[in-house]
Amino acid sequence: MRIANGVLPILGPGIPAGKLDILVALDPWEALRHLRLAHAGTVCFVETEVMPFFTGRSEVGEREVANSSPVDSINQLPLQINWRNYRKDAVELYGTANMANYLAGLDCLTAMNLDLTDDYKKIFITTIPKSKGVMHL
Amino acid sequence: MNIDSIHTGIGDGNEAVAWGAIDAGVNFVSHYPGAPVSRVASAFHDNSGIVFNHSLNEHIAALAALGASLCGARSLVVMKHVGLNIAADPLNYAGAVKISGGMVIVVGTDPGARSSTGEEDVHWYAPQFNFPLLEPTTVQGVYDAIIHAFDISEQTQTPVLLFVPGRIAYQSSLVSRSTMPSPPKHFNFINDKQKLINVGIKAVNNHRAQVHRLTEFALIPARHTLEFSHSADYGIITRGATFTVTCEAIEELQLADKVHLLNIEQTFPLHTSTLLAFVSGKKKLVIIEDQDGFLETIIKREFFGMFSGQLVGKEVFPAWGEISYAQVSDFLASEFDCQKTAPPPLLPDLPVPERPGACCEGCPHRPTLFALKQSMQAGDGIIGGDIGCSSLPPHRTDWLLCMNAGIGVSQGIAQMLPNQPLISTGGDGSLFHGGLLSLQSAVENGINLIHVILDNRSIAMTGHQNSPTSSSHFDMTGMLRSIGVKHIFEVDAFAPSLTMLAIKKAQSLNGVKVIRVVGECALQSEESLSARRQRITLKINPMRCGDCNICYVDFQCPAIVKAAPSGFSIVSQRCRRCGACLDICPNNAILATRYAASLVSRLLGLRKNIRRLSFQLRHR
Repeated sequence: MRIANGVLPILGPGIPAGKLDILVALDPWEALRHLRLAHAGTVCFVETEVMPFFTGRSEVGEREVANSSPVDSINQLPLQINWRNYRKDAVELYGTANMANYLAGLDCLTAMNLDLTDDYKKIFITTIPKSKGVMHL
Repeated sequence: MNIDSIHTGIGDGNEAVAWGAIDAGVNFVSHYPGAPVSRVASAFHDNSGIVFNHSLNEHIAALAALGASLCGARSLVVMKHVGLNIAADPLNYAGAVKISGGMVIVVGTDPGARSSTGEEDVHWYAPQFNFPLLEPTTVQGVYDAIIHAFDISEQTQTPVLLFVPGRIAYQSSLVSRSTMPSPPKHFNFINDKQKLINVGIKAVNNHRAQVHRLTEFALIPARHTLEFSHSADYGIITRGATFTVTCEAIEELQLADKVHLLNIEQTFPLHTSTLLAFVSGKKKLVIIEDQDGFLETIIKREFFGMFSGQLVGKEVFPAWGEISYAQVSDFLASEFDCQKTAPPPLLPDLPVPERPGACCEGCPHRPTLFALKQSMQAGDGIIGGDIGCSSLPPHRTDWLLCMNAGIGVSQGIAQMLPNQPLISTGGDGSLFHGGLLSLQSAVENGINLIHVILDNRSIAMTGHQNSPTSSSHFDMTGMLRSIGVKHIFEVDAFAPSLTMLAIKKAQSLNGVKVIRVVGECALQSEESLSARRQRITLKINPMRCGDCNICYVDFQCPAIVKAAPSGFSIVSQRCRRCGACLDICPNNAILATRYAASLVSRLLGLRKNIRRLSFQLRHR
């Protein structure tokens, strides 16, 4: 997420390197992958649990994963990191890990201190694309 | 204009298309799902009064909309860029027949091929069809352009193309909507043979009239944006998503007083006077656009000899991928010899392993493609691939090209290499998009071929739109028999041993053989998943596990992970209880436990043998 700094408007649809203000990542490896876009003041909300790598299990990727820790690497960076096991919390609260993105988004919106109060849930859920069926809370 | 009400909502590019069409009073919507515009149809929600045609391919969608517009309805057609190839045949004459209701064709383009098998540049269809082409630059711009497109379609009596690239289709922003009261319409079909019997001299006359209409339309000032310094002698021309990227680079580099920028929304036909006024006094002109350089080519063609300064475009910016902020910023910093002010990005030094998309846990395609690989392992077997979820790793087929490439390409190979083992594949969506005709063609040509239909009962990859097999009443066997397929097998996708048996049996038969592998998409049924989760838990018994790696390396179910200190385990949270792993384990080390544990486990353990036996009895 990018936030306008009050001087320059945000115009482009992408996030150039060094212009990422808030990162919500549901896997620490994916946080690390996207931190090339971050700057020293980026605020991060990151899942603690590593998602398994599904492909290339007999190849190089798995050895790289086994021998390194994305959590340690991220902790060494000069960033404000908010760690939380979103998947576990989502299962406990809603019975499905699919709601991890909802919890992470809620943390993010709360931290932004927007004056949205009761509209949090409504706004966030309506921005999640769903083609069939609605998840009722 | 009588505006009923104005309100604002958060929407992405897909929603902006739908909202624009609703507020323009659209009467008819036809579409074929395809990213990045696959969610436009669902964004209409429950708008009663709008007639939908959920077409089985883009050719049908375009023709149906043409029919609606011939009756005076405002029609919207939505497809992805490669779909325009499928729709091209009718669109080549759709401009000649003088529609009475506006017809807008929204095309999701994909520079960078984020969600496509190629980044084909379909701009060239605009001059081929003689259709106006609009390219909005923002989500709000998409909304506004849709309304405008209906107006100019009716003005020119010609369909209008509107391109929405991936980075605008997926972007969300506030959208201000103006709802206009639409008067009730009466639709009628006028049987005008001069325009509708489009053949011979009538076709030539219709074509001439269409070109004249477009030439006259090109004289009307078109939508465009001028930014920054009017007195600067350095001009930049943009279209689509490159406009905002370029604006941002100019602001960041503080070049606002040194450049003059023209963004052209109507990129075909170009409005000559606007462009001539802009280039006047410029010493250098830079055209920044994604893809092949359509705008650059048209400008060079239309304004040959009218601009004496330097003109650069594709010799600087690549014709592939999306033009990025970094590319524009680097170029302008070098042109004006200025320093970038953005903070330096962090550069974590730990390499991040690649994580390509993969079949979900519980996906019916995983066990099917596992079975195909196992069946073709001995020798030089070929597996023909289609597009969709079945093309995802880890079980890649031998090619990934376009819709119906599985059954289509396989036919030629089967005819040229009759002794080489070959199986073609394709989903149920592809079958009805055009694969059925391919299959019938294979029957008519007497080709010896096995075709596997990966039927997950929906068009899954684009968001679970319905396919004909979504209905339990659909008679696939009857349909296949009616086109002449004599050998039809139907197997459970989650029993790959059965699929292997079916393949073995099919290999012994001549002609076209179809194996329909049925299993619902893993992401479709949350309710049945919860029920399965309450009923059953799958576990790996380390005492029986022989460390053969089949479940982990070959099958690669995401729910099966390496256990510490050795062996494997099943992550209960991830496992969707499809049971396919029970079927593939040669050591019977995967067990079902929990509710009536012993009984379920025993039954599932026996399932493989029971199915094998019943299959052998049926096909003896």
